Amino acid sequence: MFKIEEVSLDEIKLIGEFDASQAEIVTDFIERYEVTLTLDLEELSYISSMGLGILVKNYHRLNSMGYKVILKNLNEHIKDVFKYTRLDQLFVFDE
Amino acid sequence: MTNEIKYFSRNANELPMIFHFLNAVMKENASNIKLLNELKLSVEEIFMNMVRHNKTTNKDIAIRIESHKNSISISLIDHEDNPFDILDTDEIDFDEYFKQKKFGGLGIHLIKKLMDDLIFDHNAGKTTIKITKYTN
Repeated sequence: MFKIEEVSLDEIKLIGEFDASQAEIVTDFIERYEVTLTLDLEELSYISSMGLGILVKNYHRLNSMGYKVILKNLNEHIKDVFKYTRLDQLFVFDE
Repeated sequence: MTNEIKYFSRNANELPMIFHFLNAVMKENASNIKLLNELKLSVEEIFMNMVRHNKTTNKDIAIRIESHKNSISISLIDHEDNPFDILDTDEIDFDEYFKQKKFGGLGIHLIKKLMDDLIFDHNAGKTTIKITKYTN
C-alpha cells in the first residue's frame, strides 16, 4: 500500500511502501513542483533503489533551478539506505 | 526450518505479492522491520533486474525462501542463456556519481551493503541469485 499526498504548496508526504511499481505515480506527482520541496517521510515504511533514483533525479532537476529538496522524519531503515548510498551528503535533512 | 517457493510473472506489479509472500513466510521475524525491509529491498532489486534485463523469456521467476534458526536465505531463479553476474560490478565512485548527476544504479551496491552473503550461479540455462542475512 502506497500513497502520496500534498501537505502544502511546497511539502508532500510519502506513505507506505515505495517500490518500483509506484515509480510512474511518484514521478508524475513530484515533477509538477518547481519550489524548494520538503518531503515528509514519517509514514514511509520502505523505499527501494528505484524510489531513491526518483528522489535523486528530482533533486538534480530542482537544484538546477536553484531549489533544494528537504527530507524530514526518516525512520531507521530509510536513514540507513540514504547513508549506505551516501545520499545523506546530497539532500538537506530537517531533523 | 522453513523452505517455500513461489512463482511470479515478470512484472513490477507483482512486487506487492512478493512482499506479501516474504511477510507470510517470515512471520516469526515480523517484529524485525529493519530485517524485513533489507530483504525486501534486495529481493526487489534482483527481481527488477531480471525483469528489465532478461527479455529472452516469458517464464515466471521463482523465489525460494529458506528460514533457518540463525539465518534467512532467499533465492531468485530465472531462465536465461547469457546471464548478467551481479557480483561482477565495480564499486561506485560516489564523487563521480554525484558530479555526473546520475540517479540510478544504486541497487546492487545496496544489496552488497545490506546482505551478509550474495551468491551468483548459472547452470543449464538457469540463473540463481541467493542472498543470505544472519539473524543472530
